[in-house]
Amino acid sequence: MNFKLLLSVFVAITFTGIIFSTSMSFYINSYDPDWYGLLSNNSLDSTPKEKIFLLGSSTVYSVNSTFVNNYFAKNDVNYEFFNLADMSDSPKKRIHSISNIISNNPAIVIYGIDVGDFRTEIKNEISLEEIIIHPKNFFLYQFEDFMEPIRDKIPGSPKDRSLLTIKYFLFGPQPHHHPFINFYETSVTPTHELKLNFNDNFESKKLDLSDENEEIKSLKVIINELKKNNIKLILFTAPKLIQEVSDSDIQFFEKTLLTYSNEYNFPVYFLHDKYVELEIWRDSQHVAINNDTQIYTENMTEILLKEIKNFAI
Amino acid sequence: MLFNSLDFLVFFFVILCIISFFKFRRFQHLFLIFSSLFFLYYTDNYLVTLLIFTILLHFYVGREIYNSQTIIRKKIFFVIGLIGSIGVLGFFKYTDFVISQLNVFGTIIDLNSEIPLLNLALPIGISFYTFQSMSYIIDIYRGSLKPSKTLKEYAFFVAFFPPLVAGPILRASEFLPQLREKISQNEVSQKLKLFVITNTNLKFGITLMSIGFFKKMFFSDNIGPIVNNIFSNPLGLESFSIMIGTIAFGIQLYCDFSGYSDIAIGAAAILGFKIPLNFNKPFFASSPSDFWTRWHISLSTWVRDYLYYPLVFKNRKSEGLVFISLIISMLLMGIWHGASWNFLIWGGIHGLFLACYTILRKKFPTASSNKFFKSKIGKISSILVTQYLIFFTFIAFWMKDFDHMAYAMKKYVLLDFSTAGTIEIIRDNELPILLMILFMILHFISYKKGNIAERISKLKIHYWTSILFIFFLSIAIFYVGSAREFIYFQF
Repeated sequence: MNFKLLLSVFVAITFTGIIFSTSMSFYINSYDPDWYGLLSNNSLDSTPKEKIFLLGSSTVYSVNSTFVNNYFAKNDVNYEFFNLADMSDSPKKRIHSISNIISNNPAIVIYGIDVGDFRTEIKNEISLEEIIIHPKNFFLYQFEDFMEPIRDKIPGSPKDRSLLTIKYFLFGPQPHHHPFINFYETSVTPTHELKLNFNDNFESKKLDLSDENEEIKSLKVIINELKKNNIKLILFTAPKLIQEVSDSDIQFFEKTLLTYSNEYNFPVYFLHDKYVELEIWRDSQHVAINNDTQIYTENMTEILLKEIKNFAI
Repeated sequence: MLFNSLDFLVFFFVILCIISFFKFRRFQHLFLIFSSLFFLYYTDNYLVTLLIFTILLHFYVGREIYNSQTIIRKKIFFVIGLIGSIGVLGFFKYTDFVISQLNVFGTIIDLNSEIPLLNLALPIGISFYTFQSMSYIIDIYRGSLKPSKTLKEYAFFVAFFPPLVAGPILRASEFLPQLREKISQNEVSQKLKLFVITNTNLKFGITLMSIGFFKKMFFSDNIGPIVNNIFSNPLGLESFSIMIGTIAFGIQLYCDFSGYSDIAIGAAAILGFKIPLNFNKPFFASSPSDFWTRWHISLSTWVRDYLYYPLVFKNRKSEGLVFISLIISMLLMGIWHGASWNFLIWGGIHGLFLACYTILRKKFPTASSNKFFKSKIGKISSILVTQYLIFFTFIAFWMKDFDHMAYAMKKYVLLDFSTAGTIEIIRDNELPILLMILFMILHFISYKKGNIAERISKLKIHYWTSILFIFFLSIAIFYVGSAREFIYFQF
């Protein structure tokens, strides 16, 4: 084999890797709600309002920012709401962009977290039978530790992130109050269908709320950073139709969050099972976006109004 | 093991390293046979036994056919071989289809019982390696091929991993001489490498593989969503929307399948094997028969050589026989793709186009030398008319629902000239539309410039690296998030 050729391929792959990883994190780390793009003629808002940032994964992206902002405008609430939900977000991923979030001076950060993110893989020794039947699993098992940090750096859909980045530079965030995930109407799927088709390997992961878990570590850092910068924090558990953990685990999770709430002094709301009886779901993880599913947004608006009052006191 | 997954890249890299550094060259082909079996086992688990069965059956049947002293004995072994291969393929691929048709028939005649479906898993690559094995015994039976001397040699030919899962379908007459040359080299001198990875082959192979990945992961995976949007529920859509859907699907299918073929041919080239092209700018075909010399060439030539020619052999001048033979050949081509009526319809329409074209050519033999058809406008018109017909057939290839298919075909043929919905579709699918335009430009350039892969691979190393970098970066930043299966894996 010609090593010069292989070196060339290696160089091409390395450069690709560098540019790819930089460009994938560039948008979220340079996001500025006051940016309207190189080509756009939109002027900046003349009466600046205090900013509220909603953080979380796609489980919170169906909170309709237009609805919240209209409600604020009608009721003379001098805040502007931004839904900064990002695909597959978790504290471990969000920690990389938290300094940029802080640099945009939000008054309030409302953070939706998902109990499922705090699960860790159970690493059982792989059996000979398993190796014979699923050789692929054997290799996945062997290289898991090597692959995990790489996988963490790749967003759910690099294509969507690339397109958002291009649009961001040209026209500013689009839609302006939902910069990281496109906000469009989605239809409701009957819950009995979703429950029937739900497929998750519960047994491969377990809830781990110890300080050893990177997600817990990151969550604590985020809470501390926000506190240090005098940014009010509201934490809530993101709603899901079906949880990937047992009821006892959920109770333990709630208890832990209440402990943090007392320790760090922030309010916490539990929405994870609030809507399980309602026909508002797009899939088992996401509330659909349309006029019939506004209850999630309405509840979020109520929480915000309540906490704005509390913070004012 | 998907070609567009990290698993394959690691697998291929390890194989190249072992081949390059392994000192016992005599065992290289054995190593490659076991690697190929592992490649299939990794994806298909115990169904790899079907491949082993096919290898053993056809190796011994081929040898017996060749050594037979009497015609009857020769025929008996030939039939055993055919039954073996068609039997396995038919059982796994078509049993449930036949059962479901019998159940439909049972319902029509009011039988109050149903035959339960077997729900068999379709072994990956079975259509490809079965046809490959069949061509081997047919060629031996016809006397145009000598059988493999050793099981190792034959196993290598059938199990060779690059084209194993989705082709191109290899011919023993083309592949075995290349293998024999390497083996005889080894017998002459132990110093000669059995599988020499030369610079030229390595550079060409990497280029072709990169082009294949680019076609699949940049074009096909990103154009796919617009096809699903339009074709999953076409009822109520405008003619132009249906046309966009068919063009998008044609491009998606081409990039997907020719991308796979490029990766397979590239991987084989690196290992020193020349596999013939499977696609040759099909969207510049100027007649239905020209299309089939450019699209899935390995299958179309297989059907031509082993089905169509024998069917028309006795009376080529009979228009009726030619007509029927073409229809039968294309129906087989259709059903080869999958046990479903839509593939039969797809094959039937192609058969009809081919038959009509062949008969028209016979009726008007001088038409092709007509001034108009020789002029630029004439050529462009031929291409456009041919492509209009070809893209029409893609509707049947995609749609399994008859109501959807009938509606889409009607709208494709009888234009309604409405545009409001189409504009909305274009607005909602900016990226796939842009990629379709980019694809057409690149396809045109490659049509004009000839073999792009070869040209790129002959560039100086720094230009070559830059082009690889562009391919890799485009793939990475337009990656859809998970390795999508190749469409032809299901066949």
